Amino acid sequence: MMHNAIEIRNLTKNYKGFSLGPLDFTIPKGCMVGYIGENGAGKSTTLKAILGLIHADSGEIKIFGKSMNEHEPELMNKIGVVFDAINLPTDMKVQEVGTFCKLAFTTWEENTFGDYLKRFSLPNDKKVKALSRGMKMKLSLSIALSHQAELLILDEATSGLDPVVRDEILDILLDFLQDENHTVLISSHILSDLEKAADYIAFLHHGKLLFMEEKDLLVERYALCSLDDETIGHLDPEAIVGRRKHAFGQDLLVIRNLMPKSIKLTNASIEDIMVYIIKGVESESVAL
Amino acid sequence: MKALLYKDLVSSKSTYLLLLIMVGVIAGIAITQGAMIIIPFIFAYIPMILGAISFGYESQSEFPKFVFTTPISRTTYVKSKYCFSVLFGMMAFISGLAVFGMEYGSLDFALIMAATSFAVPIIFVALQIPFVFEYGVEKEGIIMVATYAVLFITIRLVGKHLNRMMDLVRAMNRINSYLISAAIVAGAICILVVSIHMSCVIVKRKEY
Repeated sequence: MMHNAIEIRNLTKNYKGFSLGPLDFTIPKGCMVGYIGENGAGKSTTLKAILGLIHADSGEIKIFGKSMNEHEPELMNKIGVVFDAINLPTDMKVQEVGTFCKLAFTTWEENTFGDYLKRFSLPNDKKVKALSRGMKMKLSLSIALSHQAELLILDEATSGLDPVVRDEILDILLDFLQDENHTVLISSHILSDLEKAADYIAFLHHGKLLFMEEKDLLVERYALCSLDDETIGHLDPEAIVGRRKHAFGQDLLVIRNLMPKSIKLTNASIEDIMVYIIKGVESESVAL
Repeated sequence: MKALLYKDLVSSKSTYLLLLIMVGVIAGIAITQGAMIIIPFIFAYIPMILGAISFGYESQSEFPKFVFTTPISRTTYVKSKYCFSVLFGMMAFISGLAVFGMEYGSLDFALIMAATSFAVPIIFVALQIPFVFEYGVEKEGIIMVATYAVLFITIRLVGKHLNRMMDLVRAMNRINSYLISAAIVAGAICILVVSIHMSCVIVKRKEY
């Protein structure tokens, strides 16, 4: 039995001025992976490569143990995709979108789609162009969840949505994950959302994967502290991951285990970890 | 395929309705003015216009990005773009047979003109679609203008030299008109197949 939803080996993609990879990572079934990184880090490029929307220069991508190139239509029934835009002709009505999907997906469940439309209060007779951004995302999610998908891929799907809608979407993703065969890969700039829901965090920076770790371990490993320059001078340099200087000293992201017990540490959020690591990498002062 | 054709129909219903009205008006004028020859050639314009509409809407919403995350393959997507041209090619053939048959009373001539009417939309769309896939909908205008110009000149030439063409057909009476018509249709189909293949190669290579 296949235990991985996605396996990526040596994936590379080169553009003028940007290179992705080589990327190697595996996403086990039954978990939610938050794919994070700054703008232009290569998150969307990775997701598009997984979906076959762009062609990798090298490497191998397997979904549920099968190569996308050889099993594309069959695999697409198992993958639900939500992009940051809905990408449907704007003159189509919600009901017509349902009919289109019924004809496109062999595993389409009309009743499930209808239930989601009711749950999200999406009117059948409204045109796509008349929907708000939040409603468009809900329609997109309804499609993704109505064809027996086992893997959901969301690319910045929650960006630009208000906290209530984002929370509603996160609840649905958590519901989806109740089935142990279901997996979610979500890229987002809103790291607080991932903090609530993700099991793993994969961190991409300048096209390279800096780490992919369990979120809880990540939060356990790193901590924040604010110290004066003299105290910092006595610390193990390996303990300091990133720093932000201010008039009274420095705010540090540190590795908790390498810090003296006497120093008061506070918990670091995923956002703190991302920001400090990027700054650390950019100042070449960090060895992860 | 059905999904894509359904999408094309529902996403631009009002445009299609407008197009239908325009075709009706042109056909009405053609009949009342005794210029029925125009009718088969109207069917040459329609698939080009429908293609332009479909590509325009898709480009606006980046539809391929959505469709290629469904089980619809790139090959099916490409083939769907040619469906209307084949349909209208057949309509052009039938109307060509009727119009030229009634107007000139010669089945041989009508058959050849019907085959030509079938071939014209097929060939134009066969040129248009790979061009749009390769260069994008923004540059579609170039190929549209070029094909419209060629089509216009063709209609003018056919109209001007109709009698001479009839003489030519009579002169070729020894050659079976069925064979000539079949050759024209077969030639158009060959061009269509090559065009579909080219479009498939382009779309498979493209990134979305």
